[in-house]
This record gives sequence, C-alpha cells and structure tokens, in this order.
Amino acid sequence: MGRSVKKAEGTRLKAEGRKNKLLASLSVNIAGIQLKNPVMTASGTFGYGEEFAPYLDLNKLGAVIVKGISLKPRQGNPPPRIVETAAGMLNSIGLQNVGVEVFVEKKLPFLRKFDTKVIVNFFGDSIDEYCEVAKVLDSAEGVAGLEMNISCPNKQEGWLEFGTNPEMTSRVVGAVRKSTKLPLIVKLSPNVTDITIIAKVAQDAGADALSLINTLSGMAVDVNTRRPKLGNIIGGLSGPAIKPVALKMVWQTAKAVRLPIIGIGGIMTAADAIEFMLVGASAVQVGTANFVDPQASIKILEGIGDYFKKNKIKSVKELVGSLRV
Amino acid sequence: MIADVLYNRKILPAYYRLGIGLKKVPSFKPGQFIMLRITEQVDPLLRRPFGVYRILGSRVRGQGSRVRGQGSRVREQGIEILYKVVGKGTRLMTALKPGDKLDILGPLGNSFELSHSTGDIIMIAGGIGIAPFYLLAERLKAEGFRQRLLFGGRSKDDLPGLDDFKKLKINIKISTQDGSVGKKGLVTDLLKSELRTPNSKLQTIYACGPKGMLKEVERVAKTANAPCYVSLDNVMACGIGACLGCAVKSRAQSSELRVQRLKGLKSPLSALHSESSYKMVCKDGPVFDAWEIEWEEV
Repeated sequence: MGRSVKKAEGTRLKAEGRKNKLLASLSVNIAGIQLKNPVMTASGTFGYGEEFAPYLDLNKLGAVIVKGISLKPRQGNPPPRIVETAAGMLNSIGLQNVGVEVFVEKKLPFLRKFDTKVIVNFFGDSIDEYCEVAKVLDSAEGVAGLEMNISCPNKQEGWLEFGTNPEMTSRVVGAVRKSTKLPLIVKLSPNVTDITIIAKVAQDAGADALSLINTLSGMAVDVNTRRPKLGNIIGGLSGPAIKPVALKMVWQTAKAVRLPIIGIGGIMTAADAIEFMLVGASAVQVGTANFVDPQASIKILEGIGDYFKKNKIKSVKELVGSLRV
Repeated sequence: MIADVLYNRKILPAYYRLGIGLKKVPSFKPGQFIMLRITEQVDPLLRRPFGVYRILGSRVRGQGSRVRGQGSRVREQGIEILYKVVGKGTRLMTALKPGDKLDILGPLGNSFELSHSTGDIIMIAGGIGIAPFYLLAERLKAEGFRQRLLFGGRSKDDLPGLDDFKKLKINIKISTQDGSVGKKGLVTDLLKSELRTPNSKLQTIYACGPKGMLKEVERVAKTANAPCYVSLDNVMACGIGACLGCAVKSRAQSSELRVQRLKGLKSPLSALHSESSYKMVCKDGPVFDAWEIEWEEV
C-alpha cells in the first residue's frame, strides 16, 4: 500500500510538473513586472479585488488592476451612472474611489495575501496630484506597478483631458516618472485623432508600458423623456461593441512604439484576447466581461492555455505580433 | 450557477412567473435578489437583477411533479421569480421554455431584517414591486407578526401574485388607479388611511415599487414617525458591488441617531444631513432605511 501511495504521489508530481511547464509558457514580463500569465483585470471593473474573491481564485490571475485611485476620496457622479447599449455599456461612474490613504490602509493588505501582482491605477486633477499619489503608492508594500489614467481633465489648465494633448501627456508622464521608481504603465485614451502620437510621447516621457484602450466617449438618449440616459450626460463606452476599434489601435500603436502593450477593449473570450496578442499586445485586460461573468478572467485564461497547447505555442512572445499580413 | 427553466408562465398580460430549477438551493433571505443571464450572446450584454419571489421545493406543493415510471414524488427544487416585460431583456425572457439553461448569480444583497420589525407590519407594493414580499410575508407569518399588505397598480392587470398572498390568509387591501379592482386611487392613499386609523402599536412599513410611490411612502411614513424600509431597484452591471453603477445618494447618519429613531424617538432632521455619500443598491441594499435616502435625488 505504501508503494502505491508513493506511486500516486509520483504521478501527481509529474502531472504538476507538466502543469507548471504549461503555466511557464504563459508567463510574460511587462515593464519589468514578471506575470505568471498575460491576463489582468481592467481597472474599474474589478473593484479592489475583494468583491471578486468569493467567485474566483485571485492567485490564478496575472495581475489585478484596482479601481482608479486619487489623492482624496471621490464621491463620483450623480446617477444614473450606467446604461446598456447594443453589445456594450456606457458608464459615468465619475472615478468614485476611497482615496489613496484608505486604499493603502484598508484595501491593499487584503490583496497582499494573494500570489498575484497588484497594479494600481491612479489619476489626478493636476500634475502635482498625479505625482503625490504616485509617491504614496511608491512607498506602499505590495504594489508591483502603476497604471496611469491620463483620460481625466486637467482642472488647473482649462479642463482639457491630459491624454488628448501630446504636450500635456508629455508633462504629466514625465513628472510622474520622476516621482516613482515603480514600473509605469500609461493607459491611453482612444478619443484622439492619432493614438500613436500620444503613445510615442508617453514612451519618450518615460513610460515602461502602454495599456489601451480606455473607454470611447459616448452618450445615449431616452426618446420618451427626451433626456440623456446618464446623469452625467456623456460617458465611456465599453464591451464587445468597441473591440474592433481597440484592436486597430493596438495594432497601430504596436508598430509605432517599442514599449510592451497591454490590450484592452471588449475582451469576452479567449479568442478575443488572442486577437489582441496577434496584433501586438503582450498582455490583456479583461474589463466589462467581469460584470457579465465574475469568472470571465479565469475562463479566458484557461482558453488561452488551451489555444497554446493546441497550437503548440511555447511562449507568449512567440504569439505576440505574429499577425500574418 | 447554471440552472434550468422549470416553467415560464404568463400570469397577466405583462407579467410572468419563471421557475428556476437548482440542484442545490442556497438560503435566500426575504429581499435578496439574483442576477440572471439568459443567453451567451453579447446583446443584451448584462445580467438583469430580479428579486427572489418564492422558494420552490421548500414544502410539498399541490402540483409537485412526478417522475414517470419511478412512482416516487420528486419536488421541484429551486426559486421562482416574477417579472414584468419592460425591455429587450425581459422580452427575450418570455421565450424561455422548460429545460432551457440559465446562469444565475446569488443570493445577492441585504434583506429585510426582522429585528427591525417593531409592532405591526405594513407591506406596501406597487405593481412588480410585490416581488420581494412573498418571502417576507411567509417569514412574518411564521414568526407571528401581525401584517397587512397594501397592493396597488394601474389596473387589475398590474397586481401580479395577488392570489399567492390571498392563500397566505393575510390582511390585504387593494387599490387601482382606474378603479378596476379595490379602491380607486393610489396605494399611498391606502397607507395614509391606515396610518390615520388609531393604533396604539408602532407600525413598521416595508415598501417596494416605482420611485414616485416610494418617495410618497417615505414622506407619509416620516409624517407619522413610522420606521420605514424600502427595497430599491436600479440598473446594475455586476450586482456584487464592483462597478459602482447602481449608486443612490444617502444621508449620513450616526448609528446613535438610527437607534434613537428605531426606538421611535424623534431626532433633529438637521443632524441626519451631516454628510451625504453614495450607496450601492446591490451591496448596501437593496433594502434601505427610507430615512437614509436623499429622495430629492432619486
């Protein structure tokens, strides 16, 4: 009996070895952050991780990107804040968050318990605010990297969105770069004439990686009441409806910069994620799909594993940018 | 959680009963809800929230199903929801047939807390707002509370599930706006006359229905200084407190003030308005102390 237990144990270890080998093939390094796989959860769609812990094993994820954090807590926009549209949804949450202090004290300790990378999305109303948040996060324990949301207005300089203006993008990314030693991912807005211009500017200002796309600006109207369907009138469109737009932007940007790219935009399935990798994304973020199915990120990850196995792909690198044109 | 459609019956021109079979029925408290996904397609994309109306299989039902050839009685196990056809999602739901697969998430949200129930209970429902009250009425009955249901709608076709409540043999008062059944007028008028009736006991009000109705219920309850709890409905994306989409503005209150009020003591209203914030219907609710909500912003 002792022998059969030993044998079973040997089989188990072998199986585990095979599994680890498979997992190893999914590992990827983004901006100096070693991820066990290329699947992350997009900011604003995964709370602070704790909301999803009852539904999936956070340890399995490549990274968790938390809800965007600002220097002070933010209340967010008046309701209605979301509305469903054809194959997508509009949101105008208004960046509601607990503020960096509460985040570090109350939310981060929970995430530290898991064997996944925590990437903190953050933003500010001014360049100084961006830098201050980055500094606080820089000294916090358990933060693997930062993702900068540059799709918010510069309240000190004419309310123009940082990420829609190359000069402002350059200044804010450059200033944050000097405020933190952490790997810095810049999340790009798609609401621009040419995303590659902003991408290059962010690269030159010191970004370590780029993630794209943020939501597309949009609105919806109720014809009976003749009122906008969102309290904020306009909002950000996400979900499967925006995937073709996002793919094109990732493809263009991948050709224009040397930085690693994280693809975001309407990823619902493993095939969607692989499309992004084929056009040049080294990793992906699952967003709106988390709302539809809290286990979406894990299912997508498993599907990517199956695709790698079926197509005998040995590394993420081998797949990234391998689009045949 | 993958589930089966047991039945999908039209009970009124715009209202359906959907029986959902579950291998294992989690414990649902009165007021809790599920997020339902009826298709793997991406349009409609999001799940829809539905209050749990009844638990199936908790007792032998009149028409319990029988597995042919086995001769043994098998109870349908699961939950029942009531729904009103209002949009794309609910229109698609009307086509569901027994055996179709569903994906449900739940139980979600908080519930009606019987520890908050003081004195007699008044449940007040408008139309599909009846949904969370069947489980509550069952519980209240089991625990020996005196309860009344005030149920209103536009017409007799807007009182779904009325027969179920009649079978519970509880005190029911009905109103319709067109007078097709019950007292002609608004259900909140019924509430006003209830509260005018001399009653030495404190009455606790539970309400669910359209926002206009809930606003009026809150106003009437406040005037009568009666504790009042409302179950809110809202557009939701996730149902688990992550998307922050289903926000309602709430007044901040100290717990001390709440306790005072629950005891029926008057507290200065100005103190209740100290600081406001957004609460999420899915996680902080769907049941709220009516005094907690900034009704001007609903």
